[in-house]
This record gives sequence, structure tokens and C-alpha cells, in this order.
Amino acid sequence: MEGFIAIGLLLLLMITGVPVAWSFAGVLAYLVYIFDVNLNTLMLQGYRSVDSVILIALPLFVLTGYLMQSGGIARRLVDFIEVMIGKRRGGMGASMIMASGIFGAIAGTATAAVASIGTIMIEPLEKRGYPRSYSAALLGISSLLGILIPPSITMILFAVVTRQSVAACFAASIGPAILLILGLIAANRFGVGRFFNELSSAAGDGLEPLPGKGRATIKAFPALSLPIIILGGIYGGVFTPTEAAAVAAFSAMLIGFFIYRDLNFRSFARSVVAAAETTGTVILILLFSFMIGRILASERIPQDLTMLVSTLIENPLLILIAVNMFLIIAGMIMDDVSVTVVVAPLFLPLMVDTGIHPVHFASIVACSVVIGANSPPVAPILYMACRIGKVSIHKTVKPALALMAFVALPVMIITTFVPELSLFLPRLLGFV
Amino acid sequence: MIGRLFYALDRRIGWLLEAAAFMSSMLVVGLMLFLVLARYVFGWSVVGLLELIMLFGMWLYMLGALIASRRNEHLVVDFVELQISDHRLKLMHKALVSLITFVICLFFVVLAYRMLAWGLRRPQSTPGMDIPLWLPQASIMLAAIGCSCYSLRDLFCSVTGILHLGSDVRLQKKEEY
Repeated sequence: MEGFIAIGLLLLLMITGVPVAWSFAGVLAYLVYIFDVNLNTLMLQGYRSVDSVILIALPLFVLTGYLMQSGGIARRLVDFIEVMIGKRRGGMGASMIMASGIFGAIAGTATAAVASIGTIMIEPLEKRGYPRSYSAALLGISSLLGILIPPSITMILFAVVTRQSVAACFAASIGPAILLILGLIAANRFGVGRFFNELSSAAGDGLEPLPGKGRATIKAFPALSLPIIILGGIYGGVFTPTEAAAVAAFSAMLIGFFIYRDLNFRSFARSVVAAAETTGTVILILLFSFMIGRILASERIPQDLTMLVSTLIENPLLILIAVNMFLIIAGMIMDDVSVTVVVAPLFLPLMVDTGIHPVHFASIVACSVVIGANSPPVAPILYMACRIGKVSIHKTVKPALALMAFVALPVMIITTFVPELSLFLPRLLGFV
Repeated sequence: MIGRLFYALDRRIGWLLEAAAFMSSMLVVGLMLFLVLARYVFGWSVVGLLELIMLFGMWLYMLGALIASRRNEHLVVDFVELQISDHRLKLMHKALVSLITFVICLFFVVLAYRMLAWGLRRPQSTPGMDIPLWLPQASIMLAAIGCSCYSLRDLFCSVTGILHLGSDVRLQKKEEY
């Protein structure tokens, strides 16, 4: 009962407009009062949980994302992909999807991808006949590939709060990510010509001419080498994910300063401070959620929840459907970090009891975050995409819901009911 | 006069916070790179370097949280706020949110203080470099106090905003009369 009240209080505080981190602290205060917790050691436990080497990857990947944006790496990536596939049917939309995918393979955040790719691509997409509302919806959903494609910050958080291997969680979400990319490209291709017409690029459309294929490849080479360094380093056993994050941030710095020369000290300092700020907001949520998790675990609330659901629903398939629905609804009213750090550990015992591998559950949670982050009323990523696309949320909701219903939701269902999609790669790499 | 003083103070503090966050960030990146280089290029095993990285990491986290509080950039579900169009109601909503945040921040201060006091009574340090644990923990205390101050600032600003709005309306009515 206390667990449900705590979740209710969390939602109430969040919806009132209290910052998410302080909403978590408010729930913590309620739990401390209800369970009469020893205050001397509570914060110490929280501190010990946050004082984790794995978590240091978080500010470093966030910094990489900001440096990609200010250092011109995102621009070269977009140019390269546009040159390669932009001229095919639905090519411009597909370019946005692929660019978001590659961006995600370097930075691991959706917000940085929305800001970088959106700023560069929304205007050219409109000139090629794509309605702004559709472009913003496509941007919102494709930027979330950063959550599925490693290195993903959501997966790092999941691994930390559920004590799983980060590399295993990274590998688990690659399958769903590929499926989402293919689904989005197919949906975009289907939409072109039916819902709007894609215009061919022509002189005088006001857009900067793109470089040739060879030139674009050469220019994008340093940017394209980043995911190879990061993922090759992690899975080749050269770096830990945290070390890979440091190498990625340093490489982005070098590329921005000395190869592309788009970075200067002022923009660099701004990126570093912005990354620190973003990390600070997430860490504070994590700190309080760790303490909440400790109290809930010591009161055996996740176990009670498992018992309750198991007695109410006996069929494992129905349990999976119920958990999926709960995750989607939670994602609609909570932000992605809250879903990952609160809901995931709460349901993990139930999932394990149902026979779901924790690493498989990681990719289910990531898929639910993709849907939740684009579903109103909260929809943080969709709102951001609308702001960048300079289009109202009301116009964007329809195409966004269509993309979610026909692409993201089927991907989540397949991920849930076909465990091999998530477990194949971790097994192949020997993590599971 | 007082307003200008607070503004200047806030700018100075903001600059200090950003400079400290910048330094912490650079130290985390630099030391982590050094760790990789030391292992692969020089074959060294630097004992305790991770403890130093974690120390700067903790300061980076908490300074980041403090900067977010200063700029009002903490993650917010702004669904209700976006629905309010009336300026007065908006200010009242902001005042309510700031008040709740301030009370919660005070709880955070209590938690951080109890941790620090407990740690000082039973001093602990890291095993490798013998770094006292109160050093990274002090960053949490600073963040707790700083965030409380910023939420108090927000509360003060929204309450004065409501009062000014009231006096503006009274003045307008008086002029019309």
C-alpha cells in the first residue's frame, strides 16, 4: 500500500510542476516518515550508490553529445548520410533516421540528438516537401534511437540500479534498435507520396549545396570513426564503458578543435557547463531514487508487488502485457530517467519470477521509454522536437501517434515476446 | 540597491560554479584518459586514481545540480504550467512550486548534514589514496544548501511578482478612477 501511495505522491508532485529531482526527494521524505528510517546512514547509502565508476560514463557521454553538436561533428554526419541516401524515395526522412542512429552510437542521449539533428535537418526537410509536423514527429521518435543504440545512458542507469552488466544491457538493445530503424524507414517510405510529396532537390531551393560523395565521406571520416572506437573498444575488451566514454569525449574535443575547427574555447566551455548541468539533474534524481529503492527493498515492497501480481494474474503472458502497459503509461506521465530508475527495479523481481532475463527486461524498458518520451501529456522529447521544428504540439501529435502505433509499439511487442532479439547478442558475446 | 547587489552576487557565484564545474569535468576526462594510457601504453597500474576521479566526479555532479537550480533548468513536467495562461495564476503556481521545493530542499539539507556529521564523528577515507570521505560528501552538503537558497530565491521572486501585480492593478484602477 505504501508503495502505491509513494508512486501516487511522486506523480502528484511531478504533475504539480515540482522539479522531478525534488519530487523524488519529497517521496523519500514521506517514506522516511512512514518507515521511521535512520537518517544518519540513509544519505550515506545514497552517496555510496552514486559513487560508482560506471556512473562516471554518464557525464562523459553527455559531454560527447554536446561536443558533437558544437564541434560540427553532427553536421558532417548529416551531410554524409544525406549524400549517400538522400536522393532515394523517402531518402531525406531516412537520412534523419540514420543520422539519429549514428548520433546515438556516439553520444547515447536523445536530447542532444534532437537538438543537433533537428536544427540541421528540419529546414531542408521542409524544402523537400516534408510537413514540419511530420518532420518533428519523425525527429522525436528517431532521436530516441540514442536510448537503444549503445552507448545508451538509459541502459547505463538501468544497469546501475539493477546491478547488471552495462555491456550486456548495451548489447541487448541493439536488436530492437535495428528493428526500429528499419520500421521507421519503411513507414517513412510508405508515407512519401501518400500523405505528402517529396520534392527533388533543385538549384534555387535556398539550401547549401551538398558536397560530393567522396568529399562527404572524407569529411565525415573522423566523425564515423567515433562509434567504431567506442563500441569496438568496449566489445573488444580494450576499454570499460567508462573509459570508452572518456575516450569519446576527448576524441570529440580533438575533432571539434583541430579537424573541423568549429569548436572554440567559448563554445567548448559552454558545452562542458551544459553537460555538467544535464548530468547534475539526472544524478540528483538517481541519488534520491537509490535511497527510495533502499527503503522499498528493506520493506520488501518489490517482493510484495511480485506476490500481489502473481496471485492476481497467473498467466506469464498476461503479466508481461500488464507490465508493458504499465511501463507505457508510466512513460506517458513520467520522464525517461524516472521510469528507468524507479519503475524498472520495482518490477524486476516480478519479471525474473515470470522467467524474463534482467537483460531482456532492460531492452523492454528501453522500448517503453521510446514510446513514453513521445506520448503526451509529458512527452519531453516530442515537445523538444516541436520547439526545434517551430511547430505546435497539436499538429505533431497525430503523425507522432501514427509512428508509435505502427512502428514503436510493434517493436516493443516483438522485443517483449521474442527474447532472442535481445538475448542473442549478449549470449554471443558471452555476457549472459 | 539591494536587488542590484543580489544580482551582482548571483553573477559572481554563477561564474564560480561554472568555473568549478568546468575544472572538475576536465579533471575527470583527463584523469580517466591518463588511466587508459597508463595501462595500455606505459603498463602502469596507478593505485587509487579511480578514487581521485570519483572525488572530482562527485563535485561535478553536485555542481551541475546546483547550476541547474540556479538557472531553473531541473527536469520539470511542465504540463500544468503550460495550461495556465493567466499571469497572476502563473505566478501563484510558481510560488506554490517554489515553496514545496524549498521545504523538500530543507529535508535534503538535513539528510546531507546528518551524513556529514556522522562521517566526521567516524572519519573514513578511501583505501588507495587515503582521501577523507568528507571531501566528496561536502559537495552534497553544498548542493543541498545552494539548492535551498535558489528555491528560496524563486519563492521570493514569485511572491514579489504577485505583490507587484496587485499594486500595479490597484494603481491602474486608481488612474482610471
